[in-house]
Amino acid sequence: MLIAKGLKKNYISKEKTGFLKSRLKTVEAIKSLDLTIRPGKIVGLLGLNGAGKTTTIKMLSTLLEPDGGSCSIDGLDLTRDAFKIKHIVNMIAGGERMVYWRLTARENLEYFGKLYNIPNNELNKRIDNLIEFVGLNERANEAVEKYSKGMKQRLQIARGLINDPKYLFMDEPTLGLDAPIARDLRKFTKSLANKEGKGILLTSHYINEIEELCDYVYIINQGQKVMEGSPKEIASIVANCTNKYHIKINSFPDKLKVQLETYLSAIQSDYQLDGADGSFEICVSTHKDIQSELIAMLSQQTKIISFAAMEPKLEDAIITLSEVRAYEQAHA
Amino acid sequence: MNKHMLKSIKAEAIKQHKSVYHSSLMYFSMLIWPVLHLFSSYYSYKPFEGSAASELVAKWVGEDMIFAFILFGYISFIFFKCFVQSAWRFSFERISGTLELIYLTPASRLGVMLGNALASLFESAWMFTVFCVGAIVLFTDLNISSIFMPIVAVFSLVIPSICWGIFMNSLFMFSRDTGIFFTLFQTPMELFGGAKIPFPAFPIWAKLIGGFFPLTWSASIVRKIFMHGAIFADIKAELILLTLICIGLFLLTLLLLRRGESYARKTGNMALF
Repeated sequence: MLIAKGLKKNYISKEKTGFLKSRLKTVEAIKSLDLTIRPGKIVGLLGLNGAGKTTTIKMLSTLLEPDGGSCSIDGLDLTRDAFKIKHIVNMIAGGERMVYWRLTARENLEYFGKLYNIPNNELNKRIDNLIEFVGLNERANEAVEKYSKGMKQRLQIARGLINDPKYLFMDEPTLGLDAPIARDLRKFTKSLANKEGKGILLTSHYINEIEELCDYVYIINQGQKVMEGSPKEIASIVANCTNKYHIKINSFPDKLKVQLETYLSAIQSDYQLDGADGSFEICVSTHKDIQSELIAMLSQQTKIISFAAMEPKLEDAIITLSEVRAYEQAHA
Repeated sequence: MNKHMLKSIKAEAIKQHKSVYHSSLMYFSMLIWPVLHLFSSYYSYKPFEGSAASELVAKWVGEDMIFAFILFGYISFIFFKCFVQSAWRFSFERISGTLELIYLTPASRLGVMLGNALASLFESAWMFTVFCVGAIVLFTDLNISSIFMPIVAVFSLVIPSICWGIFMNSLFMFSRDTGIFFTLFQTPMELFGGAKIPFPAFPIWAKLIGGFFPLTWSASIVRKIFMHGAIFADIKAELILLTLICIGLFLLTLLLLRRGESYARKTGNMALF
């Protein structure tokens, strides 16, 4: 089992203050993160860009040294036993980099397999199995530069499995992939956990992906955990957090304005108003599903030109959760 | 050296070789450019024949030996240059994101650096052969004391250049701005390493700089063996100096690799380019 407690990571960056002048600035990439990954389970790590997902993955895979906290993987200490941990973990990132384009898929896998000191006979068998597993059999001896994006990503997956890791860290593995390939990859990821018992940490921007795959989810923002729970819990919070309605009406009488403001403030919600071409556009952000109430209220006093309910977005949920957390901390 | 390290060396050398020599055109180019270098060295000397500069060089190496002097200087220089280029190629691992993947594995870091340097041995050995054949064709009166001495010459080129190559590789662990290392090491090595100008002709300050480059002593050994029929005793001083420099470079490499990885793990600069 992987248990991380209070993990911290700071980056020191230079901030330009003038010509040939700069000052050092400490950026807290991860403030204090607790995380548990059990064998055979898929754990999701959600967050906006810059939340600290990749930094977390790099710390867990020994590429970055934590500045605080502790982490043990199957009883091994992340800092002290980094070299032993390298044998049992691997990382897969999205994108087309991280493979040698001029080598074939087989040569790529042979190279990494040898760096893991896998005996030749076993390595050959493993390469054959992995190539078949990711469906590259027919083009295994072709240079990677001739592969499609999806094929390169599949090779990345095979590379990430070459040492038969117990824990696999997948950093946005479906980034930029076509829908059918992303679907295959999700199916494949699930089988790695369910059939092979691998503990998987998956980062993603896509709530659907997290809902489909993960057994447990952590949401982080600006290096801090803002929530953890089952995908269902997360999805319900997302749905409740971020309902948005875009409504176009042809008039906005004062009576309606007062009624709307009173109603929205009672449910701690807000609206924005734009007026142009003799019509008014109202954008309502609320934590509740108030579609029918809004329609009823508006249609009594004005004519609704259009009404659009915007699908809740994970990004909005994370921002809302972060705001709530900051508020709670400030008033604690 | 354990089995895992040997495996890492072999894997890295094969990978680099396959990445660089991916088409038959590369082999063709290897045939062409040593020959061009050979002619270039010959004709860069020609315009100065009989000039004051030529006389100055002749004072140290002998009038009839100038071309041989330049030729063997180039042989030595190109040997080192190939290894520096291999180190430079290694910096592309950063760009392609594969450097992180190498460091994700438990492979011996020194093994990977050695493997990368050894991949250049193929290129260097080829250059060496082409130049030597050129030398034999051009100079029928090569003065070699015994068949054993050219082997000493080869070793005095191979081992120091590998040490130089892995040292350059380890520097790239520290920094992603590889250009500065070329400015600091490659050009001064070419100038002060005695490849073109006789080392004894330098002023003391230049000798102090040149003395730190293994090329200086490798070139001196190669020249003494091929041009002056030196026996082992004649090159003992250079061999000792070269050995000390190699040990120093090796220890510095070990330190840089350790510090470099630790620095990269702290700053996360392994993924930056």
